[in-house]
Amino acid sequence: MSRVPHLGAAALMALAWLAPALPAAADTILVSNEKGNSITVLDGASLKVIKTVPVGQRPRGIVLSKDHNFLYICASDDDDINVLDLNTYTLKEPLPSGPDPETFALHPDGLHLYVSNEDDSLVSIVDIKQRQIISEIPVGVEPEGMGISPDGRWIVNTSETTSMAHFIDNETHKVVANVLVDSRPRHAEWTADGAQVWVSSEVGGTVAVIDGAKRTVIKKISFAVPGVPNESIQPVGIVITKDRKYAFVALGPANRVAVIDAQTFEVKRYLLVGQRVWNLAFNADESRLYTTNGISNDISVIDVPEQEVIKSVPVGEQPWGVVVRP
Amino acid sequence: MIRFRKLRLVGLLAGAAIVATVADSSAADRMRFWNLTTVTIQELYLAPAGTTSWGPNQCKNDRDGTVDADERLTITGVTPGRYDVRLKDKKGRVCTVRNVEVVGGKPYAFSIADKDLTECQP
Repeated sequence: MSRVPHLGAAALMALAWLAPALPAAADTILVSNEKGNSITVLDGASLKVIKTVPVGQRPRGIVLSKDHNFLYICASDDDDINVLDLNTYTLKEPLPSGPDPETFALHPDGLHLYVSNEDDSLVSIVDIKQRQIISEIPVGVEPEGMGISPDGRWIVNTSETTSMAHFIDNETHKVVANVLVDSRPRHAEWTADGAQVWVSSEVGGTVAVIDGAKRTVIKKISFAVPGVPNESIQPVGIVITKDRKYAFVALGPANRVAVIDAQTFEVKRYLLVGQRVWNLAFNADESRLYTTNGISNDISVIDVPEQEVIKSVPVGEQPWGVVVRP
Repeated sequence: MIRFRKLRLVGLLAGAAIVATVADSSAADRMRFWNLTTVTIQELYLAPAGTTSWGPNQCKNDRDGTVDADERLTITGVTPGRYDVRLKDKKGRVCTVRNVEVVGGKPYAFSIADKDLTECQP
């Protein structure tokens, strides 16, 4: 009899000890599986899979609606945008996207999606309420990354084959500047203050930091991971903390996430994660970072303040995109 | 009246069959390779399984002449069946993947991942 309370106290002590490493998080993690044709739903507190929802074919880019009630999903092989109701986990009427949508960004107004159409070298603007494409903007060959400035005025699209970041005026829908970056730019990420855009170049193996107003490259960040050949270092996803202290860059088949001082642009460390790490997402308070690992079919969980990987969780086949619903 | 209904039904079925044939035809026309390796592929050839009758370099169908990781490549001049696939990657390796099933009417005809690259030189 006396052992029960003793074990209970020990368990409580163990839990107290573990608590800082695994803080409670009342959010939901959503992962698109591009070969599994599904969305994996995980509980942010327990890090357990709570649901796998079949969706359209080859789901890649995903983004939350402004009210967090819907998930927009680029269903690349269906040539449309799936709309998943996150309260019922049912698919609603899809939105048009133009052909082969891969990635997109939601305007801060929550009413417009900006979609890269790889096959047609276009950026399509989708009016969510009207459920139609209201504008098509010609850009470089094989458009990919999409980023919208925090004030919604400037759109940055990257084109893989042209190796450029195209700055688009959102009032005129015209390209106003083309910034040359290294080969195969994949992702464009604005800083929260709108001062910079960071663009990853997958084949070039670098990240270009672009002045958002002058539209010139102010820094090119390179990577060197001990024991990893240079050709395996393929930067794709980027996230930057709101205070612009740190940036995290997914390095593809290098299986590492680079931690960068976003003030000095110095790479501080490399975190070992799953295989072919592709995209990244913070939770709401930026205490955790989640990565999709396309070859190992899992996500890695990073404790941001400690800058260490604390867990990996299996998801669907070829995880691609990730977002966190608060 | 009954005869008219039968004729209309036959007409509808015939129309549906034509639509289905057209849909199948366009889907079957879409033959694409999905590069699920972690390297850029610079050359890609197919030969009927067990032969050395290599076709043209399919990478020439791509706009930049290469197939990056996770990218798709349109395959031309090939019908569904089993093929040996030979590829040259950015590292200079030449790999052969044998007896690959190439299917039609699907979003992608076949894929190759790192785990499939077991027969490579150097």
